[in-house]
Amino acid sequence: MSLRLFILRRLLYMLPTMILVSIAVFSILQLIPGNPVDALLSITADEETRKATIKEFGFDLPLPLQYVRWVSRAVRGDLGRSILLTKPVSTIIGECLPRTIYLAVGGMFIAVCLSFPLGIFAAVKRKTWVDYSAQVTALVGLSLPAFWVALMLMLFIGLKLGWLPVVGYTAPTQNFLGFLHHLILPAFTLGLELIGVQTRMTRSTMIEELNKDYVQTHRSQGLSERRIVGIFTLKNAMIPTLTIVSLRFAALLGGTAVIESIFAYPGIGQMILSAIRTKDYPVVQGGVLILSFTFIFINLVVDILYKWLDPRIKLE
Amino acid sequence: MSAAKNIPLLDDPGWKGSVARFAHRFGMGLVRLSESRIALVGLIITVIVVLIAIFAPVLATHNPIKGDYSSTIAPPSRQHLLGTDNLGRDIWSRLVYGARNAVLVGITVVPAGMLMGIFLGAIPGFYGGRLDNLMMRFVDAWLAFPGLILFLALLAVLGQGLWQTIVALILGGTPGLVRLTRGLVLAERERDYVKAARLLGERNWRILFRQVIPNVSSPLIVVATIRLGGTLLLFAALTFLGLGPPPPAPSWGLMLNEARNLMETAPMVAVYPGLAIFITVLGVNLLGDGLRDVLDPRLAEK
Repeated sequence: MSLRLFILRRLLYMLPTMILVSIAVFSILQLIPGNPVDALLSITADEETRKATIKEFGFDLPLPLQYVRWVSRAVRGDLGRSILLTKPVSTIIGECLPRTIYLAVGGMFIAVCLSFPLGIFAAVKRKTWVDYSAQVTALVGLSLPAFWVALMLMLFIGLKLGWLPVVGYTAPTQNFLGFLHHLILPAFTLGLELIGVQTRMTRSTMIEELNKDYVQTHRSQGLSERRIVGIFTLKNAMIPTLTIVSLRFAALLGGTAVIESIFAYPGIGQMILSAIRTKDYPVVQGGVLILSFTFIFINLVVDILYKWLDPRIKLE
Repeated sequence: MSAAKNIPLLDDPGWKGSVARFAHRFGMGLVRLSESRIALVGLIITVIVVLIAIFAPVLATHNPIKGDYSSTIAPPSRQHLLGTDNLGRDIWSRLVYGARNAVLVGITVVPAGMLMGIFLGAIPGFYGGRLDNLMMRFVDAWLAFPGLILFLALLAVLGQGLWQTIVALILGGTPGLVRLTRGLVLAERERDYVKAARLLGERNWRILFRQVIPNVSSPLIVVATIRLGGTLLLFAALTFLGLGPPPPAPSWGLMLNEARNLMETAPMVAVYPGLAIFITVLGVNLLGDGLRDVLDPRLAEK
């Protein structure tokens, strides 16, 4: 299959997914118990406001028509207004999403810096103490509750030692050093959460690669293990590993909510979370929709890049 | 491995035979599980947690919900093994009762997820066609909600509470298991024994339920167990965020949330529930890894 055909097919497959996702997000307001108008307004709202709300959201229209209205507005960037903050949802997302991206990048950076060397050394020195300690680290990483780690970090590094600020956020344009200071603890927690999976994955990919015939050939030719790993295996093992890392990065955008909430980091996860608590449904809908579409889009790009890097891959 | 495989065709032991075969396999599985030291440790931890949950009323020294206002934030003593929290509730008793929620999540989410996998993945996958295609589009859409967002959206709709959280955990974990089961069934469908059974005129649903599903059950159990660790962490995270069972329920995530305000005065209050979660999840993860090594070594490479 040529690359162009592949991209075309992938785009075609994306369409039903996006439609289904948008229907699901649209349904949130319909599925919550009770009347959606009541969900949007406080009990004390008078008849006038009720009528205005019904008109604004088009609740008097049949459902399919409501959906079409909602989608066509969303496509034009109008995701409605926040009930609580009386700001357009798109503005709020525009503020929050970059912060979550910084956090995700930071967390991923820390995770990669720790897990890649660990996984690679574990594979090369298989069945030695290096391997075992890497596996124990991975297992502990998989079993630790991230929010608990966050609390402990806050307690010991933030409160007891006072090295780093415990909560909040500073914009990088305002004060870059302050921005980094605020980012370190949340990003480290996030990175710790990822270490388990990524160390295991790097290790198994690397082992698989080291078992391949070409490695045997090079060994029989007398090439040192160090050179085989340095020149060939590392490079070959990096393609699948980096692919999964980028896919996980996309998932990370939706996985930071807990950490954001603990560190009072005003990202998009925290935004959705507080919107659920305050029943600010337009914000919930907008946030979920944007995150899902970002996720779908990143997946698409990664798939295409993967195919481009390694044309042998067949994708159904 | 080959001994554990089904003997296909013409072998119809009836339900008694099926039960006997299942019991035999289960017993053999336990024997082999105990050979792996990792799995044994995991099994022991898991069993201890389950026992604690069952015997919580015996093990608890105090009422986990009613506090004693005369001794708040008390240090560990003979009366309060791990001390008390800001409302004077005995932390040890709350921890013990908290194990019940974790066990409840385990015994509901894992079997429910496997059933969903079989009904929504294996059956459409085996028959193929339009239904299968449609199901996959739904799975794609379901998987397009990244990370925690799916659970948050589900809880926004379902509301907050213990059962709502469990339903959200089941629904949220379904698409992954559906896709996995379908993939396994698709691979199994092309095997010779299925073709042979077809040639002999065996009915499709009998092939599916008597041959194919038993043969994919090992990897399914392994994956369901491995995922349980993550599910327990997720449950704890959601309760921590206040989306799970409402206070004053004794739940580990909730205890951590309440301990946040005591961080400076009584940091140990925040240490115990976290340790309980960590040890439980570690046990389940070890058990899952051990099960994988015993039941389906192929999965280890993935």
